[in-house]
Amino acid sequence: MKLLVTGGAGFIGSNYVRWVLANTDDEVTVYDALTYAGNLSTLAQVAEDHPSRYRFVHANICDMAAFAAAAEGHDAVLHFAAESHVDRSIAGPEDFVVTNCVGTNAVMHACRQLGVERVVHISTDEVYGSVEEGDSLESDPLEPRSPYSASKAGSDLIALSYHTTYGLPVTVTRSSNNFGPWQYPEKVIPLFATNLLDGLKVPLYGDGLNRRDWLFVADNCRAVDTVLRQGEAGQIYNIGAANELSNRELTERLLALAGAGPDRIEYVEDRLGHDRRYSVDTTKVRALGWAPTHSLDRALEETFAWYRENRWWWEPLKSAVPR
Amino acid sequence: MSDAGHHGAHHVAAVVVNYKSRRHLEGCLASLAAAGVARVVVVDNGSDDGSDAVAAAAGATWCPTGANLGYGRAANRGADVLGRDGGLHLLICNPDIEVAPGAVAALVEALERDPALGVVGPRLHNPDGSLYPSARTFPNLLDAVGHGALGLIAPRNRFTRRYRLLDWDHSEPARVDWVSGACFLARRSAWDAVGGFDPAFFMYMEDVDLCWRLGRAGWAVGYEPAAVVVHTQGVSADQHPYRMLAAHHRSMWLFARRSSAGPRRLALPVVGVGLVARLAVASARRFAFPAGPRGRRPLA
Repeated sequence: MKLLVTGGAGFIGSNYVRWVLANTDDEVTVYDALTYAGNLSTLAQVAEDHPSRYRFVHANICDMAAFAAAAEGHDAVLHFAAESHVDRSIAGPEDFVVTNCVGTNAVMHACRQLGVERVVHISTDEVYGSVEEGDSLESDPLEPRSPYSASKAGSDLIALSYHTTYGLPVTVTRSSNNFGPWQYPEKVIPLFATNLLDGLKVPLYGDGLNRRDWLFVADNCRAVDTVLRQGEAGQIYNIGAANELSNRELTERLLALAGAGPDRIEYVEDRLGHDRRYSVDTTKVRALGWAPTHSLDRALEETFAWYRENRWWWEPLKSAVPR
Repeated sequence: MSDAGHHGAHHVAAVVVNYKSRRHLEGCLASLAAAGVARVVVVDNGSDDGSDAVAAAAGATWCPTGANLGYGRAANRGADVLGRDGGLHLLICNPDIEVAPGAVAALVEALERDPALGVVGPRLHNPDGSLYPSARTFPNLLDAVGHGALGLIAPRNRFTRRYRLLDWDHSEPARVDWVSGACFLARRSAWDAVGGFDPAFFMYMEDVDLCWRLGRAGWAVGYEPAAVVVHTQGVSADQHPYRMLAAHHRSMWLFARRSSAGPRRLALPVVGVGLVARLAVASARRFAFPAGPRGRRPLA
């Protein structure tokens, strides 16, 4: 199969590209705009290891003509490309609406015109909004509260409308918080890990009691691939690992991995409109035969070790992060 | 049938999920045609009994799935085949039902009367004319345990009566928690909003889950006794009784897990053990009484 992966130089996209090249015979085209969060250094080794099965196209998803030219001849499109950092969306929502909504429409429109046989739209559990108790189901109403999650909810609806209206075989995945190697050091786990490795404090929002489910990126990649090959067109699949932690508990685990004490925590003013809790019901994706295989502790340990051993990758990015 | 009986039925497209039920399918399709249902898709889960010829003779679209997808996934497939031009309302049904004259129109009227309804179910009759309790409550934990433990041996115990609303005479339209998937009319927009049945449920409980999810999405579920539908229970399921018992208990577990939040989650291990025990008892009973202890297939 020939796959095109948008956002393939970003965190989850690049992990998926690495996973699919290692575990299948598929050919992969990465289509990426290389914004601040997408870097060719992430894929340098991939290009070297798979010269015949890997190709890179540098372009923006909003450029419909460029996307259609790149996607021609592909059997499936996995649409990972998105603006994804909530804090950035609060500071400047416009890029989020353009990339996530307008960009998704361009991808879906081109896929429809090309007759792509399978489109997976990658989304987030944040579209359900904050849930105090229980789990969000795929059919629950969308109550996104940040510009980021609102733009993702919009993109989900655009993608699904191409299935309902035109019969484009779209599936949607909504995963909980991903973590693992190659995650840009603005997100909480790589930010905290790299701060701790540099002897700095870690900034914890509010009372630190916001709760998230943590999903190791390799488990998410397998889930996305399962949905690609077995999911039913028009369906949404939640992906989660039932590893629910408060941000404070998560921080304590990272402190333990770094051998650091609680004095390294710096409580900072809470994020505006900070959702209290996300949690998803994963019955549907598990019925396709998927289940997470990484324990949270082992995956956190592996991730922390990866950041310790790969300063070459994150140091230049972190020094360039606009604060 | 009077002209009034046809009112609204042309807005309806039907999905009949078939599995080796040729003998009943013919009557089902004839009753739908008589009711004025505009389009019918027969989604077939792998029949080799001539059902395809019956569907063709009735002018229905034949849609073989190539495998046994189970009830919910097959119904979803049918809704997909119908697409957006399939009509305003979607009638989902088993092949072993026959809609009485005026039934489909009464269901349409119920949906049009109450815009909050996402799904409405008819009054279901057994072939002998007796009422089948097709509109039920979402059981609380006590009723679920009581019904699960006693339902097989004492079908009129108070937990089962409450769960199946047996003390209600079923003569008035009502809002209910859920209606049987054997036959119901769904508003197309509500069906699309929740993505139809959850494909995780192979057989059984997909109807409970659908209505529960509709409720979470803001839709209500109705019961309309002016619509009468006769249902011959378990025609498809009887062909693989043990597999179906296992599927039923698996579905009960999936729904129990999904619908338990907060402290109720603590009871889940007990529910799991209870379901395994119940499956063992139900399988043993099925082995001892293949046609049911009183000559009828036991209800689950």
